[in-house]
Amino acid sequence: MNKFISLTVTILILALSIAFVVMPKSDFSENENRMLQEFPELTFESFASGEYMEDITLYISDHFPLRNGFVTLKTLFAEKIMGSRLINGIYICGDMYIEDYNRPENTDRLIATFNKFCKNLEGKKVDLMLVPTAIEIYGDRLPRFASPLSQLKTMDKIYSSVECNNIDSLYDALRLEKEKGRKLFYSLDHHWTTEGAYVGYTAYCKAKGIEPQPESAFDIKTVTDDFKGTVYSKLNDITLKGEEIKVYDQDNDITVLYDGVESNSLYNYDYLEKKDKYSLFLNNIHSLVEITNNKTDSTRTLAIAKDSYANSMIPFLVKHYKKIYVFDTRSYKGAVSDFVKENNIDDVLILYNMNTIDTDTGVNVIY
Amino acid sequence: MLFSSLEFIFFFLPIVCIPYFIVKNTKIRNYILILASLFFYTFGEPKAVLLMLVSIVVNYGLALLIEKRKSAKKFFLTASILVNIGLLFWYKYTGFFVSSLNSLLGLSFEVPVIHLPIGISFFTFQAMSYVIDVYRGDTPVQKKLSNLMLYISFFPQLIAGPIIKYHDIDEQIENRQISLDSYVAGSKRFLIGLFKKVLIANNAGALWEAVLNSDMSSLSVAGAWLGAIAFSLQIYFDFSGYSDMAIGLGRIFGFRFLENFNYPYISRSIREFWRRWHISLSTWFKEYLYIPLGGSRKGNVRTYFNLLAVFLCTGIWHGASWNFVIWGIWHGFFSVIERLGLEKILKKCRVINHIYTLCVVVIGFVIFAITDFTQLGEYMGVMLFNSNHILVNDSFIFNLKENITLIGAAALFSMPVYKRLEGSIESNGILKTAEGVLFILLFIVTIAYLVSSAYNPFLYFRF
Repeated sequence: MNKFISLTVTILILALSIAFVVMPKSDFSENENRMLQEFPELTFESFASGEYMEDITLYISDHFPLRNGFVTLKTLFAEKIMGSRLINGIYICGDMYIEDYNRPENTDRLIATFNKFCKNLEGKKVDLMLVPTAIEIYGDRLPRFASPLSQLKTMDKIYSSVECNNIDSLYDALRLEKEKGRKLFYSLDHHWTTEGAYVGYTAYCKAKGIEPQPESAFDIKTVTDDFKGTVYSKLNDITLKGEEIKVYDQDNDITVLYDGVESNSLYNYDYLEKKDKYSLFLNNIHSLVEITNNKTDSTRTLAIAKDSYANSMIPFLVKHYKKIYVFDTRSYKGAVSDFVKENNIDDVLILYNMNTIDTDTGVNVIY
Repeated sequence: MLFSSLEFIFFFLPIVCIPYFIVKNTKIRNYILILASLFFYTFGEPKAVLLMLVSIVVNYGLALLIEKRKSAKKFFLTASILVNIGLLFWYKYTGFFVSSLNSLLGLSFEVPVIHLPIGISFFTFQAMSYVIDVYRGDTPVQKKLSNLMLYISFFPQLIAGPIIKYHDIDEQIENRQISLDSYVAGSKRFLIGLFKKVLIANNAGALWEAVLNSDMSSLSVAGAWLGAIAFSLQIYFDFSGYSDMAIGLGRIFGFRFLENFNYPYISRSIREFWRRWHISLSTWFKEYLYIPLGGSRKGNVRTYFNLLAVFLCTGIWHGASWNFVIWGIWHGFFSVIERLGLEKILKKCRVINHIYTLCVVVIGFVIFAITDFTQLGEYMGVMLFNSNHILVNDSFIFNLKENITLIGAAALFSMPVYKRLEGSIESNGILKTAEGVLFILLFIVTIAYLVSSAYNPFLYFRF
C-alpha cells in the first residue's frame, strides 16, 4: 500500500507540473479582480535582492493548474470537514455570508482628515454618512458565540469627534427595515443592495429636510439573478448560486459626464456580462462624475466624496439637484474641498462604508 | 524555498529526482545533490551562498591541518570554533549584543542592522561537529571537498535541521542504499511531514495569531490558554513536520538521518521532554558542550552549572532576543529541580506529572513566542489570573468551536497512536486501502491549502 501511495503521489506531482508548463496562462483573474504575476525578467539586481525568486514563487501559485478548483476544495474542506464557520474573513451563516470587520487602525487619522476637510470649507456644513455593513445590521444571523468587533464603537467615535452634520439616523433606519425582513445587503458581495441604498437615501433626505420619493415612484427591475461578488470570490465555492441585482429606474432627462465622457444613463448594463456586476451602478469607478438634471426646478448643487457604496444611492438623489459632482477620492487627483469652494457648491456629502473606510486609500486625500 | 511550497514539490523536487534516479553512479549522484543544494540555498539567499561556501572551505582546510599537524591540532580546532561561532555571532547576535549593551550601560552605540542568512545556525553547527569529530579522532578526515560540501549544504537539512552529526553520516556519503523501497518509505515520511506542516501547524498558527492580535482587554483566561496551546501545537507540528520532511527527503536519496522528535508532549518531566524534543540539538549540546564541560562527573554543583549553561546556550541558539534566554533558563531551572528530587516525586504521580510537564512547556512557549516584554507580561497576566479577566467568554467558545477538529487531530497525532496502529493497518486489507486513499486525499487537500494561501481577492480595481 505504501507503494501505491508513493507512486500515485509521484504521478500526481508530475502530471500537475507538466500541466503547469503546457497550459496557457491568463493575465487577469476576474475572480480576484487583479492582474496575475507575469514571468519575471532576470536581472542581476532582481536576482541579488531575491525579488526574482519571490516573483517566481508568485508566478507559480498564480498560474497553478486547476487553481480555482483547488480554492473551492479548500473552502469546502474547511467548512464541511473542519467545521469552520469563519473562512477567509467570511462568516458562514446558513444561506447568508457576512464579511468580518477587521480591527480599525486609522480612526484617529480619519477624524483628523474629516476635520481638516470641514475646516477648509468653513461656514459650510458637511454631511457625513457612515454606512454600517451587514455584520452590524445582521449581527443576529452570525454563528453562535461569534463576537466580532463593533463597528458602532468606531462609528460613534468618528461621529462624536468631527464637526460635520452627522447622518447617524441611518443605523436605526437600516435596523428597522431589516426587521421588516428586507434584504439590505448582498449575500455574496460587500455592498448594500439597492433596497439598502434606498434606506440610505431616505436617511439623507430626512437630514436635509427633503421629502423623499416613495419606492412606488420607481420602476423596480431585476436586472440579473446571477451576481457573484467579492464575498463569493473570497470563498470561491462554485456550488453557490448567484443573487439578484435590482435597479430602481425612473424617467429622467439627464446628462452624465464620466470623466468627461458623455452619457445619458446612470447605469452601464455592459457590466452584467462581466463578473463584477455591481459596477453597473454609475458605470463603475471614475475620478469625477458630473450629473446634470436637464428637467428640474431645483438650482441646488451637490458634491459627494465617497466609495462605491454611493454608486447605488446616487440615482435616487438625481431628482433633487440640478447638478451632482461625484468624486472617487482614490483616483481624483485634486482636493474635493478646493473644488467645492471654487464652484460654490451648495451641499457636500461624505459617504463611506464602515468595513473598508479604515483602509480606503482615498479618504485621506479628500481635503 | 520551503519544502511545503508549490515550487519545491512540483518543480525543484522532480527536476532533482529524475536525473538522480537515472544516474546509477554515487559520485555523480552526489554532484547532482550538491548542485541542487547550492541552487536551493541561492534561491533563498542569493548573497549568503558565498558565505556558506567560504565557511565550508575554511572548515575543510582546518580539519586537514588538524590531521596533518597533530602537535598543533588544538590550535586549529580553536581556530575553527572561533570562525564558526564568530560567523554565527556576527550575523545573528551583533544587533542584539549592541542594543543590550546600550540599555545595560546607558550607552548609545548605533545598532547595526545585519541580515540573518537562513540556516546559518544549522550549517555552522554541522561544520563544528565535523571539525570536532576529526579532532577527537572519532572519524577520519574528509579528503574530498565535495563530500564535505554535501554533508554541510545538503538541502533537506540545510535550513531547519535536523542537525546531523558528522560521525552519524560520514560513511553514507560514499556508500548508501538507494532502492524503490527507500523511495517509497521516504516519500511517505515526506507526506506525513507535509500534512503536519500545512494542515495542522499553519491552521494552529492562524488561531494563535488571531488570539494574540485580538483585543487584550477582552481576552478571557481560557482564551489565553487556548492561544498558548495553539502556539505549542503550531511549533511542534511545524518543526517536527519539517524534520519529517527532511528525514523523508534524506531517505528518498538513500540517507538515514536520526530521529529529531519523539512525541515530546507525552513526557512526564522536563528532562524527559528534552530527550524527546529537537533531539539533534540537545544531543549536539550534550556531546560537544555538556560532556566537555565535565557533564555530571564533577560533583553536584558543577553538574547544575553545566546543565544551566547548556540550557542558556539552547535558549539563545533559538534567537537573538532576551525572551529566548529566559526560555532557556526556565527549562534549565525545572531540569535542575527535577534532578534535586522533584523527578522522584513526579514518578509517583501518574497524571499530575503529565499536567505539570505540559504546563511548564506551554508557559515556556509563550515566553518563546512573544519577544515584546510588555506584551508578554500582559499575556502572562491573563493566563495566570494576574489581572481581572473573565474566565470564559463568547470569543473563546467560538474559537474553540472553530478549531475543535484541528485541536483534536493535533492532540491525537501528538501521541504515538498512528505509530502503534501502523502494524495492524499493514496486516488488514481494508485498513490498508483506507490508509492509501486517505493519504492521496490529504495530499490533494494539502495542495488546495497551498494554492489557496496565495489566492487573495482584491476589493478594488488595480491602480
